[in-house]
Amino acid sequence: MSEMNPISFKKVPKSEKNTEKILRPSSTFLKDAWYRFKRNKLGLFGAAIIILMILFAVFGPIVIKADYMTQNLSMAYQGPSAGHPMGTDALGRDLFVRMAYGARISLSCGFVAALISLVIGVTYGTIAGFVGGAVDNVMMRIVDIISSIPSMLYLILFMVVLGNSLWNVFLVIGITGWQGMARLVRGEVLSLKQREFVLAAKVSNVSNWNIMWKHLIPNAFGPIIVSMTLSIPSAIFLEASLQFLGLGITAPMPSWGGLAQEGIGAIRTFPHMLWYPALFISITILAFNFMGDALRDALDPKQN
Amino acid sequence: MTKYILKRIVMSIFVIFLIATATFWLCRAIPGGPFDKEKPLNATTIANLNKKFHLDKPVSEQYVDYMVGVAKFDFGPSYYHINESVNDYIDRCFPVSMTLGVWAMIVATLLGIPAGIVSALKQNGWQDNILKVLTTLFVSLPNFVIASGLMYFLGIKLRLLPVSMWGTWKEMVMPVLALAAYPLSYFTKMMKSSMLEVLNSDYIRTAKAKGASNFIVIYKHALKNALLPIITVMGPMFASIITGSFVVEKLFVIPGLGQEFTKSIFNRDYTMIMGLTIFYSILLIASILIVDVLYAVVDPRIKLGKEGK
Repeated sequence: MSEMNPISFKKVPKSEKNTEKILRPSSTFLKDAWYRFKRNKLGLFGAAIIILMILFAVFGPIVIKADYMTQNLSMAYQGPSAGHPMGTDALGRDLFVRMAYGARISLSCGFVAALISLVIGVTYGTIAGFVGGAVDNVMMRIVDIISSIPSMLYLILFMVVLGNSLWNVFLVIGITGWQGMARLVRGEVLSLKQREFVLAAKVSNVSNWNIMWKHLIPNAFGPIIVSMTLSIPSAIFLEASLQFLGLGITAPMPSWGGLAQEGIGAIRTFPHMLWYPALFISITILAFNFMGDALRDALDPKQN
Repeated sequence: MTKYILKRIVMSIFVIFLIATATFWLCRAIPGGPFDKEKPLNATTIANLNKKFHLDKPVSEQYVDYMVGVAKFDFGPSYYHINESVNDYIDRCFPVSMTLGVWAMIVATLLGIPAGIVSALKQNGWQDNILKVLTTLFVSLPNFVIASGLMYFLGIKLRLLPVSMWGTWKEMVMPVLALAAYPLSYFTKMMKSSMLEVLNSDYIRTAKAKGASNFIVIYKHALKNALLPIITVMGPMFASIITGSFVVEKLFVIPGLGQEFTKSIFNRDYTMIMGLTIFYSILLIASILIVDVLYAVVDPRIKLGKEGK
């Protein structure tokens, strides 16, 4: 080997000094998710529809000055007009306002029921997954048993027992729909609790309670949010079907399912009474599904 | 294999027992007696009614009686319809619901599976795109929206089909379609994804490499394996058809068990509600059991796995 000769070395020009550096600014999980979500047109469309529906529910009754139960028989069965953008029903009540109140009930049912099943499902699933062993086995068999029966059946049974006031309906739909969430969270917890950070937490004497709530659940955040978003439309769906059967919240409080049921009676003569609720339910459910799918792609990229 | 089936049967009976117990105690928890009417009956009448329906016995004894009845498939008398039992209603109305449900299942299977195959073979073609839109719609729309849409366009606008009653094939078309919409779309989606998975597997490549024709590859090698996952979702689809029939039977005025169930809730006919809930549960659990056993029989890999343990 020849001797080192300074002449054979060249100084690196300043402009090339940093080429090895990674220039992209570091990004958080949520920023990444938002970036992926933004590129999904269908998901954005769904989110826009949901925001419009919420605005309709909040401001609808303010735009049109009428309340949902004032009857005016001389105005019954009117088609859409300037005074009544969606027409009136059999008792002359303004359909636009009734639809807006219906949106309040249907949407809040979706959110409240999803929240209740979130709380029950996450707690149940975390305990089953974290404790493991025989406890897990028994808890999951119980979930299997409950989910082998369609929720509609025992939903009806609970409603008969508890009565069908607004909050009861929300509560019952919530407490019948948590099994999917429990399964999902249990699966996540089972795989997460094997990871090193949980071992590290255990070694540093963190209580089991804190490991569950501060380490395991926040790490399962993505799939939980996705599953919750997708459980909102099924709650809306269930509530609407119940009202359509005449088993939901009692009159004169309208929900979209109840309005559709009133519309069916007039299907031959005044189909507009059926179309608005049917259309709004369909659009809302589709919008939540689109947004849920987009959120899945955004928050849980491992799934695909 | 026999051990597996036996284990499943015992488990199913246990589940039915749990459900019957829960249903019984839930119905006991309803405030007020079964004979509280808007116009109160006098005390003697209530006492007599209680005696007639054995409601004067202690609750624990009633529970045992009821469970023995359920074991014999006897759901007791109706509190609302005098001199008729829950079993009378099941005998009379269930065949109607059964016909409706079986037809819906047949339509869903016969249309859904070919649609799924087409969708997989022409992936991203126009056929696939149309099917994608349709299945997304029909999977998410509530069936009362689909049913009332059919009713309006086929029944009222085009006057092709009668909008209510039950009996002739013309009257059956719309309810069956309304009920089949969800399972049909679900089968299409399932079939598409399972077909795509199979078509990408190694043995399909081998079959192609050895020079088998396209027809043989698809129908002899791929289809058989792609059909397996469909069997597993038969159970849940059966459940969706039962709950769907509540809505469809009410809408099309079909004298089936689903309509009787919703009516019994209005009438506060507790024995009927209890009896039909348990009856539906038995039906479902039996169907899930049959599907699971069928799956183990059809797929030899599962049988081996179970016996290997």
